[in-house]
Amino acid sequence: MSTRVIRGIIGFTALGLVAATVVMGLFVTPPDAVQGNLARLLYVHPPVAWVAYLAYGVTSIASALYLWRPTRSRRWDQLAVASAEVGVVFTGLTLVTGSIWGRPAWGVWWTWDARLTTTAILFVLYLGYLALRRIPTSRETRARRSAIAALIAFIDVPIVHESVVWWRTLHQGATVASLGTNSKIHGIMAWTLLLGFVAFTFVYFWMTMLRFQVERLAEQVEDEEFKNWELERAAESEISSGAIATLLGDGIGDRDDTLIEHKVR
Amino acid sequence: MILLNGYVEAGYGAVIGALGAYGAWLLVRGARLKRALVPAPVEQERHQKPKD
Repeated sequence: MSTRVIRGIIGFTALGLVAATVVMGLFVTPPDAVQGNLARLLYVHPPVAWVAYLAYGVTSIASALYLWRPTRSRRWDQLAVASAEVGVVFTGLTLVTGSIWGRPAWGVWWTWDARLTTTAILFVLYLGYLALRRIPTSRETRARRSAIAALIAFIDVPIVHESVVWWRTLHQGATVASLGTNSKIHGIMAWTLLLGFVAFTFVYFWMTMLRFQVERLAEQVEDEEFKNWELERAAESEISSGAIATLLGDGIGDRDDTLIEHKVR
Repeated sequence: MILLNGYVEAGYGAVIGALGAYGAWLLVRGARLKRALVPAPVEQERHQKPKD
């Protein structure tokens, strides 16, 4: 089965699962006893945050594999950037959906709470990673530099996750981790939440595969452009040397250089 | 459509809209890059008349 077919299957599965999550989240699940309909944001906010963690985890593994000489390959670097970019999109969505939830629940769009602040730092760190890749340099230098940056940025991921335990925060503690044992959530709500996690994980895989392909194609186009530029340069120099040889053969070589240059043009 | 409280719709809308837009952008970019890799016919080939 070709990559394109696999990507198509994952894409359509993701589409179907997201549609099911939306239907379940908006129409089927009951409103929460305390937060009412506002709790329906539960089915999108934690899943997009989870995907951001997943994406940065994949970026870190790919970066480490690139840095380790026995496994060094361009593909690891391409996977790292693909996953990081998707991760940035999902981190942005985590911040946006959290802010939308925070306004009616806490009365503010934003507060310098530990969970919110560490998530914002995570967003900026990976934006910095993407910016670092834009600095013009050789591919090897860029890949090595950004792999180190990705590993440093990943330190913030466990800090974000544990922030609700380490500091007193407005943000609620870990609910999802205790779903199995001491669950205080209605069955259908828990299943819809699980569906949301699966759906957005599929979206992540589809987007990362697509972004990975875009990165590979972009590098191929860059290589082609460089090859064409080199060929043009070679052809130009061949024409120039041919013209000079003709002029020299005509006996013009004895005259001054400016005249030869003029004729060549 | 049942109207909830505006915030819920905004949250779902932001997620679906942003992911949809990013996915579409990736598809378009991929298609453009693929097209860029197809070699364009050189000037001579383009104006060459069939021999028979």
